[in-house]
Amino acid sequence: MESLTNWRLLMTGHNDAARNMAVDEAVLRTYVQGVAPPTLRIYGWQSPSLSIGYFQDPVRELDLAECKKRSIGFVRRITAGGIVFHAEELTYSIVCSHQHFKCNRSIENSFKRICSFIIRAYQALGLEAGFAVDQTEVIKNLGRKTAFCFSGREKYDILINSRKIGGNAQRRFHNTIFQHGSIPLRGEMGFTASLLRERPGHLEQRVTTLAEALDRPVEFDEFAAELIKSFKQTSCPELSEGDLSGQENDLAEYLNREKYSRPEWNIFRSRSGKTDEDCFKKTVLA
Amino acid sequence: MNIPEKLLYTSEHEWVRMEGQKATVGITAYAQEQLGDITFVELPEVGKSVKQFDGICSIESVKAASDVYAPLSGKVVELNKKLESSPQLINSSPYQEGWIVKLEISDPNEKDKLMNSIGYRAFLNRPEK
Repeated sequence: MESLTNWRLLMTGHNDAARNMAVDEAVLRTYVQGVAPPTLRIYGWQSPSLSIGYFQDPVRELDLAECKKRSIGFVRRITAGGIVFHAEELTYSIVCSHQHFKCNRSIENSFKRICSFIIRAYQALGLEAGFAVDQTEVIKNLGRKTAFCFSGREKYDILINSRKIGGNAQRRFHNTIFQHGSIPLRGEMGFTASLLRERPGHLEQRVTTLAEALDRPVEFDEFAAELIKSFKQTSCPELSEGDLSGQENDLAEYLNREKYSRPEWNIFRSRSGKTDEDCFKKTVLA
Repeated sequence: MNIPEKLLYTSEHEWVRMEGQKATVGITAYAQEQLGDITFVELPEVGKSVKQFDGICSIESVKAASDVYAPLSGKVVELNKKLESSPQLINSSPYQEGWIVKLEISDPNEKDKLMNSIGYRAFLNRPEK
């Protein structure tokens, strides 16, 4: 039986958008096969990029001319949710089964339990962070679907001083939970809004970054260390740093080349109606 | 928990209503409760062939993408188009208005791998493994 306590920590550095998504999916698929251990991965982005949710249509949601003018590329995630602009941020991903967080199949419960380690990391820095559902003044707007991830509010989104920080999204495969999330270290939300077709209003009053909340810059390594400490305290004391296996690396290279670098996935998946599994089978059989 | 008697069930929480060779498929009351508010259903194309327990379509809820698995092998012959504008029908009426697809099944013997309502209730009540 798989251990529920021995987790692997992957620190994969800063990579381009396609590689980042390919590594996430490679870890997920090897975990589903029973080969990879439950994993917490922490990574960054080599150059500013957008990611769109699994179900989103980039032609409808993004101002593609503006993205091209500013040399901002985009990649489709396997997780749901809205558009995220990744620049000066820390991204994490978690692959595990629902037994690890004792949340049955409940998606809300899993967000609540998994995201606790992020809240604790913010609190360790002295910030008053909490879930949106616990802040009565924002409850009436919860659950509204938005194209831009950070401007939406779900019950277990994290708020600091009533402003949302970052975003989290999931992909489920049978009993497996894949969650990744984005934590903006610094940056201007106005720039992100300029890349969207429908520009959300008053973003600056609704969302924040770590540097803004703390009123000082926070480096990637500083917050990564805080997150790791917090993950050990809240979720899993047995977290050991490891590497991608050869199988994961090969699969990541393959997915990078054949899926995440191709318009068939990044642009047209939502129009072709192909499921993630259809696309995976097609690439594997190609 | 509402578990209608005349339906068959999978361990992934889909239900099937059989009428001859035609199978109406949806997700159970338990499944919709676990998913939370459903915001989008990506229906497959009519004519799509599926194998038993393979993914048949995807559902978005609370920023999660989840698959619905085919309880039986066959070909998609009808879609619940109402779900395109009202995905929440799966939450409000999982066994009636929230049905998802109808399949023309190719192997009736596969029904042996499904549970009846008593088996499904016991499955839901099992201690967490």
